[in-house]
Amino acid sequence: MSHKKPKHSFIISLLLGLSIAVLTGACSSSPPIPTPRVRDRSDIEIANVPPPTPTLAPEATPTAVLPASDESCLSCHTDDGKLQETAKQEETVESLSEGEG
Amino acid sequence: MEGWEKAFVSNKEFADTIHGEMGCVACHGGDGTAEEKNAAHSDIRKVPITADACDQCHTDTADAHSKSLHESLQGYYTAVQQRTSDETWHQVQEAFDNHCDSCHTTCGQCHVSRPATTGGGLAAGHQFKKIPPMNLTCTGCHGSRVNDEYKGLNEGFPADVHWTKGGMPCFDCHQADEMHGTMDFQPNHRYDGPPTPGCISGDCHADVSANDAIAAHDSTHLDTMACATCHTTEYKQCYSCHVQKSDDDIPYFKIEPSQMSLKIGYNPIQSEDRPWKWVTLRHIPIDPETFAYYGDNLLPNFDNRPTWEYATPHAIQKVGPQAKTCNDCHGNPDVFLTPDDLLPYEIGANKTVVVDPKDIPQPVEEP
Repeated sequence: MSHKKPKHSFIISLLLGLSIAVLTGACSSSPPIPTPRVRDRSDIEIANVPPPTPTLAPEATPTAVLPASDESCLSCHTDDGKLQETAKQEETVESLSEGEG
Repeated sequence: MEGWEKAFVSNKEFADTIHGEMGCVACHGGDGTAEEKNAAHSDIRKVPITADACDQCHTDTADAHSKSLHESLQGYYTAVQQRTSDETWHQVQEAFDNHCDSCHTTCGQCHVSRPATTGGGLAAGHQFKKIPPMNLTCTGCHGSRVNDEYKGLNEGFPADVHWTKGGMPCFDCHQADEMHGTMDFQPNHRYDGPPTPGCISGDCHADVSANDAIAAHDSTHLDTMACATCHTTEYKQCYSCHVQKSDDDIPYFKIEPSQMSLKIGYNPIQSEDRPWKWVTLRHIPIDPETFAYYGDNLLPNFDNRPTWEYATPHAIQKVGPQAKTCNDCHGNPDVFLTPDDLLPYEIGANKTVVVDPKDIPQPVEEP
């Protein structure tokens, strides 16, 4: 069985060479720099604005936002043990109602 | 739910939320500085007053809320007052306060807790839910008719197609304006004003017209029949609710067992918004003796309103059993409210809705 050298190795080499040439050319030529468009400001009225007054930085707000007076409400109502301890036993009233409501 | 659980703020981070910032006392009253329970709970309001709490920020909604039927109960008042008289109303009012008024609900009883009428208690810690939990709030109250029909809990009857196919929660149709009363009119009854929701309003079923491909959607059917007339299955009818009080002064009621049926009758509230001649009717649980515990003949104008009322069942199907073929409806007196369906005490009350058998559409040749 004879092996012929494939023709496309030559074609690939050619294409590679051409690509390198194109890329090199692209890198070496700089793109045109756009001319900055300067707005004609002659017709704009410049307001006579006083310089801004420096403002004080806002005071840091506390992270605990719940009013202090309400803390005891939440300390109990977020504690299931305490709630069970202090809960008033609800009277179960047997309903005399009959039928669908 | 245990009593303590009802007041358990399981979400400790509540204090850092925008509602938590207001503090407990601002909405619930009481004394936030007291260490002892009774002192802390002096003048406490389990259910905050809208005007003192919600209204501070949600002003427009809270102000409009007085127009909401959930707040005003005007639908109940309208239905009961039209049957009483000036002379008997004060006795009926006492019954109303004892037995009907508990159905009223507040902002918090949808957005924070369970409604008081279902026992109350925080729904999920003290979280404020923009969309209330449907199963605890909407169907917590609207249970035996709406919930059972919608979810197919009536044995042998299918659920509403909006639920089975769409999985649609209540709020997909019943939106905030309706719930909050932020509409441009004061409704006197659930069916005042345009249908809310309307089947073909907005993006829903907008393609329904006499020119669509459905044979029964001709202009005669569409113009004269409410959608549910063909598209519902049987739904619940309730009879004879009687209210009274126990020896311990506890209000209670007794009601006859409900029945499932479908009845088409004349539209008692025909208007530009609801122009149809034929609509589905539901029997409501009233009879002349409903308030008899509180006095004799308290509903002297019983005949002023039908006991078979305009209804929008939550049992919608692609096609109801009365519309599988033309003659399931045409010539079929079983699906119409006829004089034979009326009990002796309600003949006068239903004269505007009961169908003259001669007016039942004649059988037709099936296509």
